[in-house]
Amino acid sequence: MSWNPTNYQFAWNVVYEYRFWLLEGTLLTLKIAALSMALAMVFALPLSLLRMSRVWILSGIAMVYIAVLRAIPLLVFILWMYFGVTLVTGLQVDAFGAGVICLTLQYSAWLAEIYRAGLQAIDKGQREAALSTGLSRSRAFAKVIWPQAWRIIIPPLASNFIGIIKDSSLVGVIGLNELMRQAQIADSLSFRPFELFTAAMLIYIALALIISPLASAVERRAARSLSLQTRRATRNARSLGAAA
Amino acid sequence: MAADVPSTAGALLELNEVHKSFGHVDVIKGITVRVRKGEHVVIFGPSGGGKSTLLRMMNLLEVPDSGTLTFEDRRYFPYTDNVVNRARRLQELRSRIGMVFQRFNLYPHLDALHNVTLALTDVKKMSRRSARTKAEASLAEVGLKDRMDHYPAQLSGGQQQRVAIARALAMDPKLMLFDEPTSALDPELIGEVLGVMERLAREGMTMVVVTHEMGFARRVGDQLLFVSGGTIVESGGRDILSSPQHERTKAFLEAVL
Repeated sequence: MSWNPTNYQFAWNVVYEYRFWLLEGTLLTLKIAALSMALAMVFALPLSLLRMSRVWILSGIAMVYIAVLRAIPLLVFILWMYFGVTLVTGLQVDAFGAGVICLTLQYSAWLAEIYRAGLQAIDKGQREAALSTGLSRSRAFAKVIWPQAWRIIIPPLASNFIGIIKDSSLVGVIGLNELMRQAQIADSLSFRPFELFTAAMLIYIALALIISPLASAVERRAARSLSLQTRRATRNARSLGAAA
Repeated sequence: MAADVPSTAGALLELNEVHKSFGHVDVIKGITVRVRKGEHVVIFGPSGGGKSTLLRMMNLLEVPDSGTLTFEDRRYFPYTDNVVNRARRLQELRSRIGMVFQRFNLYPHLDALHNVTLALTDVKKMSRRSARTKAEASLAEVGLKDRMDHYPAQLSGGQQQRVAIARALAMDPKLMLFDEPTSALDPELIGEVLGVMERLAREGMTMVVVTHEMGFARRVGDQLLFVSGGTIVESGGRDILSSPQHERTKAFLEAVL
């Protein structure tokens, strides 16, 4: 009949059997990834600004922080944050907290460099024009520089969100029942690794595929909100003109 | 508070003995300029001679290494304030001096109207409605009221530069600085920008213009400064264009005319 040299019998029904385990794992994966990403996005902004500081000691500190945090293997980082901190201080660390902290810190380093690239892509003249009309440096950043940089930053942010979802599988080692660990546990009960890991993989792929169009939508909205403003302005102008 | 200094012969703005170097290169080697109210100052000279740097010192986009800057009888440089007050003083100075750049520097994410209203709402704290009215009037002045919902990318170079002029004018500046405003424009678009500038000059706007347009200098300039090698080589009225005294001025004018 079909080509099957090893006579392995796939039993896809285990995926159905453990569907709630996988669903639970997926939800925790999303929770960890979304929270870490949100925190990393916030934390990366001051980090990138420090990195661009003209005060060499500040930019130096940020540079070292970014270099070290990008270089640490995430798995070791997670083990240290969870077990190592307990060994050294005697304090018991919450596994969820430890996982989120590690992902946040490492990704803030990646994102800081993405922000920097986005911010540096904006012509110096933009800032000068804003300053020359009397805007403060912080207002020039908020109203002129950041809105332009933001649009450049969105696509690489989406890539990193996909990355953080996949990297969150590493927090399973400290006992968090995210998707990958749920698949492992289900395997230890059913001895069906290929079916379960394939299912986990397909879920990861599905999550990634959902994010790309979401990011595109955010990007479009960044552009559209402005054109909407304009359309509203035009309509107002017309009605004012009609009234006059 | 910075010390208010006694007025120097009715000058609106005065740079006194300013120096500036970038690394080892002395870009400005001790220049003194007085701009009187209503006066049209034209700065011309070869590239790299320090014209733009000199202009950018007038609103402290470029900070001198030494010398003084006085505007409306108030000393803005050297700084005498603490950091917080200094930032406020800088904003005060810049909100009273309009600047137009060679490469327009319009905000590409905002349409023409919002390019103009940004500083009105943000710096002058005007309401959206009155900022809008003001911006419309400004855009009308440069002949672009019908283009206010266009983004910079949808405008020609000449139109972009006129929006940039409107953006500066809307702040009711006491002084306008133009940094080679037509150098990035196609030849056929230069006229519309110069036209707007000449009308502003006729209406009595005080302005300092760095330009290569010697025709404009001849028509509008009251005080002409030939800047080269970081110093004012020659200065005077329009007659320095027709009868320059200095060899370097002669050579430059022969090359450009």
